[in-house]
Parts: sequence; structure tokens; C-alpha cells
Amino acid sequence: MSTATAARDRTTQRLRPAGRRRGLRRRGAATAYALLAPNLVLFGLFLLLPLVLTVALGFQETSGFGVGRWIGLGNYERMAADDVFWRSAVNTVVFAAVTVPLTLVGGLGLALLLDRPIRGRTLFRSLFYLPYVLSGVVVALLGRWIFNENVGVVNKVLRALGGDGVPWQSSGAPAMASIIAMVVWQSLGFCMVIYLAGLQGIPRERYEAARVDGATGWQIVRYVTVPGLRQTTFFLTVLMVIQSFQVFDVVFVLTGGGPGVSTELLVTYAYRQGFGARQQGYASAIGVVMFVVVLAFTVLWWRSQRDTEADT
Amino acid sequence: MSTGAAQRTAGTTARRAAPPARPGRSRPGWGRAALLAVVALFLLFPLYWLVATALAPRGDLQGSELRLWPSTIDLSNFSRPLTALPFGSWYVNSAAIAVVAVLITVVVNLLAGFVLAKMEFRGRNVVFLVLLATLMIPVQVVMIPQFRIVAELGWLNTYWAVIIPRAAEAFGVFLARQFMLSIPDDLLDAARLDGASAFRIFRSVVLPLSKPLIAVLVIFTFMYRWNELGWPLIVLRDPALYTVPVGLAFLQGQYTTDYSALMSMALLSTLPMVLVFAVFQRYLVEGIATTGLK
Amino acid sequence: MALDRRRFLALLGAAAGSAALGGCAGFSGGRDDGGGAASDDEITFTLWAGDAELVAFRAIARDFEAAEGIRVKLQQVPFDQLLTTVDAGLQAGQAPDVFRVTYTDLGVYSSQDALLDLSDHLPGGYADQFRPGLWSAVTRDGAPFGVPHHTDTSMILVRADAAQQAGLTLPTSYDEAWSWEQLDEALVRLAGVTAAQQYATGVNWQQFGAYRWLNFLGQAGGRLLTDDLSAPAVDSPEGREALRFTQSFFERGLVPPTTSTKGDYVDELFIAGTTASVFAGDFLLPAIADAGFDFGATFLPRNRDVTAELGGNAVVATADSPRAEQAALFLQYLASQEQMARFCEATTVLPTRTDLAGGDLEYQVRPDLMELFVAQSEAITEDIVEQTTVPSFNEINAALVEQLERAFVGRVDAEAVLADLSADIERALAP
Repeated sequence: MSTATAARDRTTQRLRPAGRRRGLRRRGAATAYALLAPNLVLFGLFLLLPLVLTVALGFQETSGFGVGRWIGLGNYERMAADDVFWRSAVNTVVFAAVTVPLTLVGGLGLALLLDRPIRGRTLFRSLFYLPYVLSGVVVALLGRWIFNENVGVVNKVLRALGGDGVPWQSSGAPAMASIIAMVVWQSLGFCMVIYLAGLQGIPRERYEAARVDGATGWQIVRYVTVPGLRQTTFFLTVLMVIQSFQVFDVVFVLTGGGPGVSTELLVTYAYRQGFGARQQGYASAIGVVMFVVVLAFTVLWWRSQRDTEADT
Repeated sequence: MSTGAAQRTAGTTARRAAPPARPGRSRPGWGRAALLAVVALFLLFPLYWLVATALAPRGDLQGSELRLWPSTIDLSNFSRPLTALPFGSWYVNSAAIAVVAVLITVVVNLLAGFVLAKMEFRGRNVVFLVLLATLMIPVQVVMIPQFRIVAELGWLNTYWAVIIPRAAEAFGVFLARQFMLSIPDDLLDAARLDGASAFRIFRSVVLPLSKPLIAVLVIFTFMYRWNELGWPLIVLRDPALYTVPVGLAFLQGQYTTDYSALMSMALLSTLPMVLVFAVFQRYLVEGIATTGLK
Repeated sequence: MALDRRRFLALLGAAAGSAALGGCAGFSGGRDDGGGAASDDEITFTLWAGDAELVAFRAIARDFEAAEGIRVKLQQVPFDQLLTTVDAGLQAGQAPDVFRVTYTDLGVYSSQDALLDLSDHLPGGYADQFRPGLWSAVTRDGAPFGVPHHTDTSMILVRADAAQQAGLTLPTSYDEAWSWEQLDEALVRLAGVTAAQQYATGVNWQQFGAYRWLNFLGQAGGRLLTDDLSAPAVDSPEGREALRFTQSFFERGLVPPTTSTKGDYVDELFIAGTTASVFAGDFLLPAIADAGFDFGATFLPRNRDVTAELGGNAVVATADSPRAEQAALFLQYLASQEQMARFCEATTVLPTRTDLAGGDLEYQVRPDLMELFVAQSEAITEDIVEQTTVPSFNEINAALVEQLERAFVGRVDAEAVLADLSADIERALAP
């Protein structure tokens, strides 16, 4: 959302100096809201109202289908003392902290590789993007099959090379690694496409200027391309962080949170609390915490971005 | 980028920056081609494995010794689940849901993008920020209240229950707004001076300029709706109305480790998505470039 | 350059048209309102079902319609989605009229008044037709909230080739069932003849099956709950003995490391040849018999005590169903002698009626082994039934999944695990 705000700032800066009323700015608010009405109804009814209800549920103790009982901050107190909640929170942060940079750097790498003419460029762009159109269930099933401890192809290759199989399913860190691998694999193509689009916006003159200054290929990437893609990177970071807080199907089908709770993420934990253990009050409270954390991250990230921009 | 946005005429190709040729390397190096080959090997292997497992006889790739390709092609992997479960009608259901959802969602997204980008009114920024903040709502958690609302509306067990709530799509609104910011105001002013209504301007000036945007929205919306699992599973109670991903979940329950059958249906479930992507992919990079996402 | 508008519209139009042709029913919502049928002569039945079960349920529903003029609409959902679907329906006042439920999950519904009290719908003396232990599993405070449809239990299935190589003879009468020591020896011998990446056995305590660990607890002479079912009793010397014994399966590599309580379902591993034997319920026999290798069955071990878990399912009607009368009629039809026999024979599960007990059903798959399963089911004691059908058992079962996972995967000491499990159970039992 901060990207959007930044965009709005740009727009107003762009338009104000003209000192003219432009576009449809004089139309009444009534028309605007009339055209917005379908959206307002949809968002209000199916996202904001449920959010409000979720916040309310977070203050209740529920045991399934009966009516809840108000318990104030009880769910939040329980959360503070719940080891599995904290473990899930740590897992979620680790997951995001590894997945997001890997996806961004990998996506940028692919974009740079395929930005300039190379044989089969269009084909490779499409093929690399393809995993992103697979459903989470398909990605997870594929992951389960590839990383199967006994008969999965990864372990079979490792054994054929003389090594031992990796306990992808029965040990925590490898299980987390398998999830990260699948999620990164799925999202790389998306980041690549966005970066490819971003590369189109870097003015050619900057590259020429750098070349004139005798910059090497790596220096051009470092001092022209990367700074030129700052907006893109900012946008992708926000989007990927939001996504990694909400990744559900892949984790649920691939590891189900196990072994133990070593791949339990906040969203899978909340789901299991809400639907498995019928603790919807508690699950809602966890959901509220997730919402607030992501919102806070986005706002802070946007501010830091704005500050660095102001500095330069 | 802000200058780029202002100069750009929407609907025409964005000015393509010349490929940043690097000094000292007049022709594409072997190094780059080799790198691409290695990267492609790793990234494409899972896709290959999906197809190979689907086509190999059961047990061929699931034995304990390493085999990297099927010994023969065995289509019984497809017939086994296809005879046990009505995947055919689930396909039709998924298609119906996805197509109608795309129509509704894209129209609604475009309207919102237009209003938020091109009309000034009290509360505009608040509305926009609130819409964007909904991106951060964890879907799995708000599912129960959503279910209650849909039940109240009497939509359970109809496709509307799958389609309408998910038409509130903040990402799409965001894309549409960013794109429309780059449409020059002068075009709109001209139409306004001719006495056109806001909706008329939207329809006859903005929409024709928005084709790349529409392509992007179609790809994303189709993908989200086609792939969705949890929500249809809860609101569609009649097995005759189920969608393909729900069918996959079924299959997974009954063929837990029969990866040949699982991969064959996974492959089938993916083909329509690949088709849509193949039709619209030409416009993807261009569309995203002009949405101002960069 | 960009998408040609006419082509684009044509494409969308074609797609929408073809979709609308095929899928119009889903838009009208005319089939039913989700919660049930619109008319009085149609009831909805939400269930999960394997291939053979679904065929059996369909046939029974058809005959019921012919006999009573009431249509039964089957709503099949994946097993792990059943509770979610039913819960969501109950919350929204859109529950099915009838649903299938495990004995261990039934309590949470009956204790919250979500189920139809069948007291007024069943003829006098109805209860006497069922095995008392199983009837008590569907009652609360003396009132019936469902009918016991079938039961099942686990035994140890062993591949014939592996048994022969290992020189094992499988006990065929319950009196000769292996002790823990003998089981241990058998597993070690099986492990000796399996190849790399293959294991001696797998135990079926995954997810919902976690309560099958209670078999080992019972065999050690321990209990999960106190006699009056008001407090945990698992943190005992017997509990520690049972947990250490089962933990050692993992420590010594007798079971695949991936088969902890959150891990892989073991029947599939047995079918795939990963394990030489498996703890499996009778309902899995059709799938396993299809696997293309010969196997035998033997009893769960007996140590200090004998036990077998209460498997199987009840069928229940929901409290708010506007078609309570019809629903109750259908439940009785399902549990009638003829229909129960038919269902059990087709799906290799055990009957709950006394007039069908004793193994005179004609099972379609491996009748030789079903005879043994019938004998094994004698070990489903009243005691076991009582403990595993307390209203909060499904919460206790969830705690078992978590705590056993710690013991098996995390290798956490038995003492610590049982102390935590005890605390979890106490919380679950608290009103």
C-alpha cells in the first residue's frame, strides 16, 4: 500500500505545478462513489466485516459451533504463554527471512539473464514463469514426491552419488528447507517478470553514461540496474512478505507443520487451532496478530524507504 | 520512473530501453549461455518430473533404485483416477467458475482503478489505503465469518459463493489504479468537454487504452480462481459442483502415495492454466511494465 | 500490438458460453440449499468414503428410497475435511440432516447439543440389538445420539515372503498372541531381512489414529484416564513403559523415521513395499489385497493385558434438522440387520449388532483374515470404549498427536512427554 501512496505523491507532484483542474476532478463525489459502489460493497461485506468479526471472536472463548463467551484478553494471554505459538512465529520469520531475499535475488538474476537477447529467450521466460501458475496443492504434492525420504528423486540422486539421503521428512531443518525450496521455485518466475518489466523503465542513457565512465558489467548492475529497480524491489518485498505470511496450501500439504512443530507457521497453526481443535476464538486472535504484524512491517518498510529516498 | 510514467502513452508499447550492452563483451558470452543452461536444468527439473511421473508405469520411478525417465509410457495413471472420480464434470465447474469470476472481477477492478486514479473526491486516499490493507488479512483465519455471511445470503452450494466474495481483490484494484494513473489527463479532459459522463469516459476512452492491463488481470484472476482450494471446499457441499483442486484434495486422500495417479491429475489440473497463460503471456511483461509496478 | 479487442471478446464469449452450458446448475443453486433438501422427502447425508464404501452407501441409499420413498443425497467430502464442513454447516444453520462420524468425535457434538436426541424416535428395546460397549459409545447421559454403524480394529499384517525369510510363524489364535518381547524379536528378525530403505514395520498412529497408541498403554496395564474418567492417569510407570517401548521402534530403526504421529500413513508404505509388516485396520484389506503380494495377519501383542482400539463409525442426525423423522428412519435402516451385513461384507468392517456378531458374514475380501479380525475385536473392552468416547476425546487425541510426535521425532524423554500430556488432558477435561 505504501507503493501506492508513493505513486499518489508522484501524481500530485506531477499535476500540481500545472495549476489546472484536470481529469475528472470536478465531478462530484456522488458519481465517484456510485462507480465505486460495487467494490465498496464487496470489500465491506466479504473482507472488512469478516475482519471485524474476527477481531471480536479474538476476545471470545469458543468451542466450535456454540456461541462464544467473552474473555477479554484471555486468548492473547494464552498466546503469550504458548510455546507452539512462539515456535510458529519464529518459524514464520525464518521462513520469510530466507524465502523473500532468495526469491528477489533469484528473480533479478533470471531477469538479467533473459533481458538481453539470447537464444530461446521467450521460451525460457515462459518456462520459468510456469511454476507460478501451478496451484499450491500441485506444488506441494510435487514437493512431497521429490523430497520423499525413501523413494524421492533427490535422495535417490544423493545416494547414487555416494552420499546419504537427507531426512527431508523426519528432521526439522531439512523439512523447512524443502518447503522453502518449493515456495522459492514457485515464485521465482513472478519476480522475474516484474523485474523484467522494471528493467524496461531504466533509461538507456544511464547505461551509456556508465559505459563512458568505464564501468565493468558488475559495476553497471551494482550502480545502475539495482538502484534503478528500487521501486520494483520495494514493491516485491512487500508483496513477498505478505505472501510468506499467508503461504498455506504448500505447507499444509507438504509437511502439515511437522515433523514436530518445526515447520508450523502462524497461518497453519491458526488454521489447526480454528478448524482442528475448534478453538476459533484463539485462532482469530492469532490471525489478528498476524494482520497487525504485516501491517506494521509494511508501514515501517515504507517509511524507511521514504527516508532513504529523501537522503539521496 | 515518474518521468517515464508521465511520458508514456498508455496502450502503446512502453519505450523499450535498449539492451544494456556491457563493455568488453560485444557478443553474448558462452558463460551466460552456460549459466542459463544450468539454471534451466534445476528450475525445469520439477516440471519434467511431474510429467515423467504422470506418464511412467506405476512403480517405475517409485522403486528404490534411481531411474530418471520412464521405461514406457503408461496412460493407466490417468484412467485409474478418472474412472474413480468425476474429474470431467469438475473441470467444467472449474471453467465456469473461473470464466465468470474473471469477467466480474476484472470489470470491478477496472472501475475501481479508474475512480481511484482519475476522480478526485473526499475520502479517496482513505478508501484506497483501506482497500490495500485488506491484502494483509490472513484468508484462512477470516474464512468462518465469511462462511456465515455467505450462508446468510443463501448462496451456499452455488458458484456465486465462490465467485462473488473473491471479487473483492485488492491486488487487482491496485494494478488497475497504477496503470490508469499513467493515462494522460488531457485525453479525459477532451472527452469531458464533449459532455461525456464519467462512465462513458471510462468505457470509451479508458477501457480501449487498458488492454495490456486487462491481459494481466485476466491471467492473475484466472490463476487465483482456478487454483483455489480451501474456500470452494467449504461453500460447495454438493460433490457434483466441486472444482478441480477440490478433486485433487480428494485424490490425495485416497491415493496418498500413488504418485503416478497424483501427478497425472496434477498435470491435467494444470493444463487449462497453461493454456490461458500461453494465450495471454505475450502481454504479461508489457502489461506489468505499463501498470507502473516497476 | 496489444490484444485485439474483438478477438479478446470472442475468446471470453466462447469460454463463458461453453462454461455456462455445462455449469449452469451451479449458478442457479437449484439443487438444494446446502443445509438440506428443500422438500420433506429428501435428506442430505455428509460422509467420507473409500471406493468400496461409497458403492455400498449408494446402493443402500437407493434401496432406502425404494422402500420408504425418501431420497438420500450423498455429499462425499475428503476424510480430513468432514469435521470442518460439518462444523461450518452447524455454525451457519446449514448442517446436513445426517452425517458419518467416528466414535471418538461423536462426543464433542453430542455434548454441545448439536445432535438429534433419538430417544423419541427409536422403538423400545432398540438398544438391546447392539453390543453394549458400542451402544454406550453413541449415548450421553443415557440418551442415544446416533446409531453404531460398524466397528473395526487393527492387527499386524506381515508380508508372506518376509515372514518366511525371517523364519516367523504368525500366531493364529489369540491365546498365542505375541508378548512384547516376542513382538520385539519378530521385528528385529524382519529388520534383518529387509533391504536398505526398508523397515520391519509401521504403526498406524498417524493423525486421527494417534489414539491407537493407547493399545500399547493398555497392554502395559496402564490407563489414559482414571476410573471415573475425570482426570488423566497416563503419567504412570505403565505409561512410561509403553512410551519407551514405542519410542525404541524409532531409535532402533524398526519403523520408517517418517511414520511419527504427524508423518506418513503406514498402509501406503506397506503397499509400496517400504515396510515388511504394518499395523492396519480391517477396512484397509481391499486396498492392500490389491497390492499384488501375499500377506498374513496376526494379533496385536498381549502383555500384561489385551487391548484393541475402538475403530469404526456411527451415523448421527443433527439437532436442527427439519426432517428429523426421516433422518431417524434412515439411521435405523443403515443399522438394520440386512443392511449392516451388506455394508460390512462389502467393506471388510465389523458389525455392531449382536445378531451379526460371531463371524458369520460372508466377506468379499480375505475372509480368512476377517475371521481373525473378528476374534481381535473381542479385545475392544468396555474400558477402552469408555475412555475414548469422553466428550473431549477429540481434543485429547489432538494432544496425543502433538506429544507423541515430540517423543518419536524430538526424542524427548518419556517422563517429560507424559507430564505434558497429562497437563493437556487435564485442560481438555476441564469444563
